[in-house]
Amino acid sequence: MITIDDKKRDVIMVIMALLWAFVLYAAWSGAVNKNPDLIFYGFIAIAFIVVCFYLMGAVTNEKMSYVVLIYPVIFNLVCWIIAFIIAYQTRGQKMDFIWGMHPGMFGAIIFFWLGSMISTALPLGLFFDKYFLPEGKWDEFQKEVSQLEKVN
Amino acid sequence: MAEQFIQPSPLIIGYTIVFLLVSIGIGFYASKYAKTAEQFFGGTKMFGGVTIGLASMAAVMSAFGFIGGPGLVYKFGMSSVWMTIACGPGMCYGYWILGKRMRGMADVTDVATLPDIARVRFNSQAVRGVLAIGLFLAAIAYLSSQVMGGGILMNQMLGVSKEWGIVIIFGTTVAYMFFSGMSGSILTDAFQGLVMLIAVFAVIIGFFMITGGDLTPIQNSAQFGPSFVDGFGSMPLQAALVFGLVFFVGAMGQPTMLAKMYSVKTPQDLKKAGIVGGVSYGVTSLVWILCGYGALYIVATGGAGPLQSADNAAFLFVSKLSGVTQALVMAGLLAAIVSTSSFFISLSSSAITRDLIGSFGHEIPHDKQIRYGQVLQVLVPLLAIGMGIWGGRMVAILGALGWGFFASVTLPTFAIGMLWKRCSTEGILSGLIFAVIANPAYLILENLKIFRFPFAGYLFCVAGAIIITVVVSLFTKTCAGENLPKALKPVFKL
Repeated sequence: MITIDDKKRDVIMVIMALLWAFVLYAAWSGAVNKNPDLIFYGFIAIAFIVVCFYLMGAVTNEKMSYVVLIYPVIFNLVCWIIAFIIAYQTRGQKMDFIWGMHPGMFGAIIFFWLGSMISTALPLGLFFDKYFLPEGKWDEFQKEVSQLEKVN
Repeated sequence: MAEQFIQPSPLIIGYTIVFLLVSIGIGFYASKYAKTAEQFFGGTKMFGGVTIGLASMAAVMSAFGFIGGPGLVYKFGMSSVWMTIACGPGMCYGYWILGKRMRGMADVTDVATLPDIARVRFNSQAVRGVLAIGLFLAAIAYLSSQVMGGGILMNQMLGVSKEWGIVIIFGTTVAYMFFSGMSGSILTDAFQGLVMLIAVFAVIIGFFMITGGDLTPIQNSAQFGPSFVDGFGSMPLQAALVFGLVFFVGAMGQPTMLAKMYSVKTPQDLKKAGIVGGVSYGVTSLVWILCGYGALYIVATGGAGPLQSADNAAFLFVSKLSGVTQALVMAGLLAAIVSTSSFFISLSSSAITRDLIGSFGHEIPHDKQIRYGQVLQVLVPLLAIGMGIWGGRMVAILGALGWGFFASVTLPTFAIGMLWKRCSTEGILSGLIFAVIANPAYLILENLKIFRFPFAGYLFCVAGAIIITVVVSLFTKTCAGENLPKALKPVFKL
């Protein structure tokens, strides 16, 4: 288990704000200066923004299992980076198709779309009872809430 | 509309009438679930995971996805597809990241609306009020942009004038919303979601019959070429960057998603809601992709001349299908418009009745909130119709709001506010005010040709709101860290 306590969450949030700022810079400067490589780095940055939200949200009581860290968090990161590299390297080129699709479209559909689906929907089904909402966690939560005054 | 692709047939008219009558019937049935303000405005803690999942998908997939999306594919290839392929998994992701904390809030306080949660989290009526204004503006924008689409669709399906088409669509929606509010919206959305899924299978069959599953002719066409079939499409590269980010992460900031997270009966329902919502949205994305590429293929192979308006791409594709398939797909298009409209009618009426007025310290008694809400559910569509028909440039401005506006006001408030204890009231208020001003401001500047971002301007608004919220929170303390309201501490342990 990795502990992501309040101090680490502060750091993650600052990193995430910096990543958003970088994406903004990459989109803006890359477009104005006609620098597609900079925009490509923006793509890599958005994959890490997704990781940051995972680290903040896919935890239970500040703990994240290594299983969850590898799959879906890192799995999703890898899928996105592969999709962006394929789509970027093949853009605008006339090429042989794979399964009826241009290789760039193939990368986007298989690695971004299907890869994201496999790293979001599937783990929600697989890990719900073990890591998302472990047995007894909700009862514990409700017990704690019942001891506090209800907010109106 | 200059180009007429669909001729109203008895089959299409029959499907339409049955669809509308079933929707009204479900809406009336749902009125028994809408006895309290929480049930009427929020459908709070009432529905199972499958119903919520289907309703989320139906409310997110609007006319823009079923009509505008294929049009964008026809015009720019893969560029816009990044929106829809990001959104489906983004919905599952949203449930992973925020689901249990949003549902937990329904046990901590009486939740009927999103600003209810924001008020309790930040102990601030100002946050509640600014968020309500943001949600109301974006909801009206969404509704206005559905008006003409709805009129055109009814014109194609029933052969009535656009004006009568608008009256039929919005009249039906208001009829069932009036008695059941958000509860009716959720139940009818679930039914309409099923209709949309049936339409997808019709589209898949039609696509493979027309194209054989090979898009090579588009690449080889002199009119289109490789940029229409490659990974990023013919829009500038930064477009896919913005779409991929704002539509994946932004999915969890959409009220159509967030509001459903506290509507699930039990926290265990979050699993089914997330999976059904995300996967079914992923499936309906095929309409966006296949109708668009189907239309490109038809034009590239000489099956039709170039379209005068890209928005007719979906209709061109559907016109090449058989009678039954046509009727199924058209019913799916209708479902997409009605389901989205019903949600936003409810959202905008509750934003005024419950949240905006409440934020000034005048809480309307709960027993009267439903009555005022019903009145607003009639007035809001009238306002949206008026703006949709006569709004001119203002509608063009508002129509471009919506997804990005929602993401810029809700991501800081909920994705950051519910995940990060240190997020302060001052931080969130600064981020919200920036978002509410920046969204219309950039659109006005772009529309008046004074200034234009070299990318979709909502990236600036979403990123700006998040950065401001984080930075201000680092230096302020109200309702943050140790000052977090005591009642909320258990939520942050989930």
